[in-house]
Amino acid sequence: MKNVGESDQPIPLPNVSSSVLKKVLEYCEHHRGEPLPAPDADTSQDDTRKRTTDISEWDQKFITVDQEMLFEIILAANYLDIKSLLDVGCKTVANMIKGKTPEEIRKLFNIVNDFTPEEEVRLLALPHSYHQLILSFWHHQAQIKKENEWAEDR
Amino acid sequence: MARRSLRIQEQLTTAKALISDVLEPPATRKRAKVTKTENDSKPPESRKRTRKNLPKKTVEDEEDEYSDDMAPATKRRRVPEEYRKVRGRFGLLQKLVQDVPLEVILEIFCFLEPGDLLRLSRTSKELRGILMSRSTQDVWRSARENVQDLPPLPPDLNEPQYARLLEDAYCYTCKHKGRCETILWTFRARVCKGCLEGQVYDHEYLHQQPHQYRNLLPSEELLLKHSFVRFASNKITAQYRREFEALQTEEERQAWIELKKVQKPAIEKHAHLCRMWHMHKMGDRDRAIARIRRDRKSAQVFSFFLADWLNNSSSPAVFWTNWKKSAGAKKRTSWTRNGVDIGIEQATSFETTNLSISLGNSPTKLGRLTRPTWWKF
Repeated sequence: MKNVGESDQPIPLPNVSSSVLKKVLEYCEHHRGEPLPAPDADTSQDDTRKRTTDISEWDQKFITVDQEMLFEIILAANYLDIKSLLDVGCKTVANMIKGKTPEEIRKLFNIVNDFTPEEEVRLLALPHSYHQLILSFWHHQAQIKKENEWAEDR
Repeated sequence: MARRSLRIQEQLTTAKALISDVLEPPATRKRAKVTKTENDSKPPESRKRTRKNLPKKTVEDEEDEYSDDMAPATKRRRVPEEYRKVRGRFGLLQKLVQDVPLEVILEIFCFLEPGDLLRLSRTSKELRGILMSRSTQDVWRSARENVQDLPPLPPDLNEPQYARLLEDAYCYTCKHKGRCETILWTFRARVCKGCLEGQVYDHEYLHQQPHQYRNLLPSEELLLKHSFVRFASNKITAQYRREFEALQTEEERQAWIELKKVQKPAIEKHAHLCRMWHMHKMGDRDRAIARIRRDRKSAQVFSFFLADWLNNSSSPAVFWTNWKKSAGAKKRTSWTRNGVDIGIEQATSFETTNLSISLGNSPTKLGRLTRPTWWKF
C-alpha cells in the first residue's frame, strides 16, 4: 500500500473478493491501534522464538469459518501483507494437521495418494546408517524364532 | 423401485378419480378434474421419454426418492458442533496446496511438530519431495523447536531420521502395527520387546575382543520383566574389530581408540537426555489418558444416579455396567454405545427377568442374576 501513496483514486484489488475483504477489514478494525511488529526484529527472532499455535479467543471466533473462506483469508492476508492475520490463518491450518495420520491429512487436503503399496512399505523403513547393522541381524534372528514357533505348532 | 411406485401412484390417482367421479358431489369435483388433467398431461409414452432425458441419478437423488416413496421421514442425527472434525466441506484446502505460494505453506509447516511433518511427507510424492530436500532444513529445525525440552539433533542423524526416532512409534524390526515405546537410544532404534528377546549382552563373545577397546563397545540397559538386561550388538562388535584390525600402526590404533573414547560418552549423554525427555512425554500422556477416563467415569456415575433417582428404579444401572468395556479414553458423547448401555439395558430388563426367575427359571441363571455386584463399582 505504501507504494501507492495517498490518493483519492480507488485501489483495485483483483485477487480479493468483497466478502473476504469485509472479513479482513473486520479483523483490521478489531486490531486497530496494536503496535506493528518491527520487521527487523521479527526476522532475527524467527529462529529463536518458540512458535506457539495458541490463538486468542477473538481471533479463534473470527477464524471459525468454512475451509473455502479460510483459504481465501490466507490468500488475501498474503496478498495484502497482513502478517498477524496470515499467522492466525497458518496456525489454524497447522492445528487442523496436527496429530492426524497421513490418510486423514489426505482426506483433509484432498491429496491423491500417488505412492504404490511397495513404496508405502518402504516409507516406513528409511535407510539408517547405524541401526541397520544391528537390525539386519535381529531380523534374521526373529525370522528363525518365528519359524521355530511355527514348527512347534505343527 | 421408482417405476413400481410411479405405477402404483398412477393406479391410485386413476382409481381416486373414478371414485370421485362416481361418489363426490359436483362442488368438490373441480379438484378431481385437476388431478385428472395432471394425469392426462403425463401419458405413459411421455414419461418414458422424460426418463431417458434425465441425467444420471446421484446418490442424493436416490436417497431423496427413497425417502419420498418408502421410508417414513426419519430425522438425520446431527453431530454436535464441538465434535465436528473439520469446518466446512472436506478437501477444500486442496487449493491451498496448489495455489498458495510455497513460502506460505512452509510458514504453516513451521507451526507443526516433527512427527506431523513426517506424516505429511507420507501423504504424497510432491510433499515428500518438498520436505525431504535440504532447502527445508530450517522448517524441520523450527518444528523441532516447537517440542518442549527436546535434546538437540545428534550429528549422525538427519532431521527426518531423528523425527522418525522420536515420533514414529513402530518397531523397526518387525513393523508391528501396535505402539512400540521400547527405544534403544544408544543405537537410535525402536525395537519391540518381542524382537529384543534373546539379544542380550554376550559376555563370552566380548571376552574374545581386544582388551584395548573392550569397555568402549556400545551397549544399553533396559528394564525387561522386572530386571535390567544389557543389550549389545554382535554385528557392531564385529565392525569395531574390523576397523581396529584394518589399522596398521600402533599410533593409528591409539588415535582410533581416543576417538571412540570421545564418541562414547557423547552418545551416552545424548541418549540419557532423550530417555528423560521420552519418560516425561510418556508420563504426560498417561496422566492425560487417566484424567479423561476419570472424568468420563464420574460423569457416567453421576448421570446414572440422576436417572435412577428420577425413575425411582430398584436396580441401579451402575451395578450392571461393564466398566471394563466402557473405559475408553475418549470423551463420552451422546451417541456412543458401550458397557454403559449394557448396564442400562440390564437395569431396565431387571424387573421382568426377576419376574421370570420367580416363575421358575434355572438355578444357575438365578445365581448369576442375584449375585451382588458391588465389587464392580
